[in-house]
Amino acid sequence: MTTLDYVVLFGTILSIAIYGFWATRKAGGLDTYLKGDQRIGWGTIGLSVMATQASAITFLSTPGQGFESGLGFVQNYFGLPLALIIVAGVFLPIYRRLKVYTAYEYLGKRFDGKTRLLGAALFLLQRGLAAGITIYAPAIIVSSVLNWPLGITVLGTGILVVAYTVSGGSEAVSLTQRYQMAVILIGMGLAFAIVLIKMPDHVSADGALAVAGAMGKLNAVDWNFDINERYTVWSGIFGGLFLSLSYFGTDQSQVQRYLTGRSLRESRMGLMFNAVLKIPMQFFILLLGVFVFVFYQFEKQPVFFNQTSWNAHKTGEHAVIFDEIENRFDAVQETKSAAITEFLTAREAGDATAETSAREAMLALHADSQHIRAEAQAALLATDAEVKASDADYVFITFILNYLPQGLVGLLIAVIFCAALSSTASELNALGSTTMVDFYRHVFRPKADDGDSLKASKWFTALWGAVAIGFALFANLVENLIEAVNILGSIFYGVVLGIFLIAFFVKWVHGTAVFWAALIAQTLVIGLFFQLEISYLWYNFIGCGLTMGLALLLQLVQPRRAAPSS
Amino acid sequence: MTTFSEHQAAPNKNREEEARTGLKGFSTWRAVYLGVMIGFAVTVLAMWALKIHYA
Repeated sequence: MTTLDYVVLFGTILSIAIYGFWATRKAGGLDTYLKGDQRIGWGTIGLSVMATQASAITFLSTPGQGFESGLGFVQNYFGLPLALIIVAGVFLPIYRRLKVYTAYEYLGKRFDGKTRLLGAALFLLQRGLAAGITIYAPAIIVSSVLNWPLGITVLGTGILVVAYTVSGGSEAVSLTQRYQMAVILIGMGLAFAIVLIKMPDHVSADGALAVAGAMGKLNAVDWNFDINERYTVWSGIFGGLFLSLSYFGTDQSQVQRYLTGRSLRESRMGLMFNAVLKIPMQFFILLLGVFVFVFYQFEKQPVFFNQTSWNAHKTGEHAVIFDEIENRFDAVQETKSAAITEFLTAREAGDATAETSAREAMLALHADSQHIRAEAQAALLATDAEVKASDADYVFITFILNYLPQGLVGLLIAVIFCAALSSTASELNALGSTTMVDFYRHVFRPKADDGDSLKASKWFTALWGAVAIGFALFANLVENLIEAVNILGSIFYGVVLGIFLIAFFVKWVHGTAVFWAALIAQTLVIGLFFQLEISYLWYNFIGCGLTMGLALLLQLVQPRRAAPSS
Repeated sequence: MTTFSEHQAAPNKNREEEARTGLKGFSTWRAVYLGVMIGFAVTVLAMWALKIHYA
């Protein structure tokens, strides 16, 4: 990184944060702090919802996923448009009409206080841990690649986001997210253009797609019905619908974003903005990874992209093995590069026979290079069983640092930090609001006035910020932390969605039945988690199904309420 | 007025205003939702066509 890159990086992230402070410095009462006075337009809401969902790891990992596995991951989002339509048509009008601050406040109005507290507690538990990860995950990658101290990276990111979120509340979060998302989109667009420009002269965009297609990287749509396949159209539509409905409809970090709309129309339009643009955005981020893959077919590719880890373990007797692997990989890559050029030449000349034979040679060499990469990972694990053997998260940042011009490197690192700040801000804002609205004002200080509640909101947001920073600072003490938090989310999400679906659609089920059903379902889901060996995503279905089924059953066997006397 | 059916049945003085989308060609929210789903289907078909074309 050059001085210019540092100026661009710090200039971008600090100016947006300062703008957040300045624009909301006269923020008034509680309503403004929690819902931005409901005066925000659909464009800002749309970008805010998008920025909340897209964390830094989205922009670091997704191109790496495109590089490794192609476009298939985009199918994960196929359930999202329908989920957002359901949220816009059913959840949102009811939240707005009841004038709730949090989604769990709605549960209190629909059922009772204990169900409200249960929903809020499940959210705080899961999102409180996730906020730490949102700060930690990009910090560990960026600090490792740029040789920055991890603690300072975590503290710098954490303190900045806590400062403007505590100061300006929901409005500051939405306003900063608008500009952070603009930086993200511009940065990713420029990276996309540069990878195409940097391709060798004989490789056009069409040629790059032909190479990617031949190597199976353009597999964006898989109609296969096999449930063991990780990403298919069907798992995306059904699983994605379920996950998105739970996330956008019941997770306060999203609900709070669209409740800031100045009217129902603005909130709905913000959601529809995401329903239309989210899949194309994910598609282009994955396609960027695919183009980076093609680019590295003609440039020297590291056998393992996390070079810091690779070089740190390349010592003593292992150095010989590592060197031998690197040499073999470089030789295969060079031969493969020639075979790809042959394939493209034959394709352009319309020589079908030459194209077929070049294609076969290219695919065989690609299989060889993949095999050597697997060997490299195994060799790394042999030196240190604790090391992270996947390097997908390091693909895009390696490309940024080595091939982007001065200034743009700073902008792309700013993209990563903008994404980290924007998603963390929403999480802290939602955690602070939920603690104040659903616990402090509901349980501990029911008579608190708006001024007292506003102060409490700020304190709770700061407290959750401190928890997130503390968690991020000590995150490396826990193994497989990101996966652990994802599993935790899946274990709780299904039960929470089950409670909300009963609330909206099954009028005759009351609070006590749904409360006990949720507790039993949650216990069963946790028990099943330790018994079954299925993908953790299934616990979303199981939790929701169990909660709904048990609530209906308990309501049926529960003694009927005495009819009110006339 | 906490379930969806109650919300639909309850009197709402803003109903007419809330039904307006302000979008040319999509005068009702149902039309907007249909448009979004058609857009989704077209996107999926376009991605499928890309896969087949370069397979």
